[in-house]
Amino acid sequence: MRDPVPSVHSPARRRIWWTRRAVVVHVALLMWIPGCAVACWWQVNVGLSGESLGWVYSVMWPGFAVFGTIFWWHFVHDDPESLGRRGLRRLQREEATGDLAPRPVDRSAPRDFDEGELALARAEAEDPELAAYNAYLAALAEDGRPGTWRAR
Amino acid sequence: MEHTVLKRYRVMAYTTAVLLIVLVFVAVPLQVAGHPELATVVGTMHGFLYLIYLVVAFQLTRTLHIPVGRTILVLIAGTVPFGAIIAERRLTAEYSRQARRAAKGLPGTASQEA
Repeated sequence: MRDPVPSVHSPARRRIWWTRRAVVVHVALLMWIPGCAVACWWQVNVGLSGESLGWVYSVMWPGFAVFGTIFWWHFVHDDPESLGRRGLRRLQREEATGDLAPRPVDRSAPRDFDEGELALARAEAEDPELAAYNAYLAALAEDGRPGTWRAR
Repeated sequence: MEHTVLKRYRVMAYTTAVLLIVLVFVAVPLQVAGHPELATVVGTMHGFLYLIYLVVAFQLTRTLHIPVGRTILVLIAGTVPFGAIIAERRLTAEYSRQARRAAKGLPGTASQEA
């Protein structure tokens, strides 16, 4: 039986390290780390010359190097097909062709709507008459309301 | 995603932005004029708070599926006067766009902006 989780040595796992995108990220990191070392050394010299802010920045540059390494790890493991405009295009394509399999609830999706609003949005999506009536009520409420920067 | 990820980012964006504006437009001119005290204090504060900004900004760009190039712009924005304020407006708009999409039951949270 095949192992469902690819092992670290499987070709699929190894491939992500040598895509064009990954190589760009590797090169960026290889330039970033020495750059941070040079900047740190420069700030140590500033500190030695009597400027106390130099000591603060000489502590921070190694920190930037550590962050750079963490970001590098994330960027290498990203799936570019799920990012930004490309990700949205892929989703729209899947929606249009109906390839979209029912997904589990995405708990990472932004939520700033309460449950009531969510239930209303779902009910409106199912019932166009309800949606039209709510739009009519909203238009009535909008009339005569002073315009503020919030009410666009 | 929790709303707190956005809130944390917004707090840090405004804090670092205001400190940087004070540093660049008040403290540095004072330093040039021979009063380096304020620059030392504000510079130190901005320095350390920027490290926290980096952490919370990265967290938010990950949750919003922001591509690498724009992520780096958001991170650098904390070192440019007014940059963090612009980044905050854009990310907040992106957040509510994705929240609306999620509320409509549409799949995915990929950003719609270049």
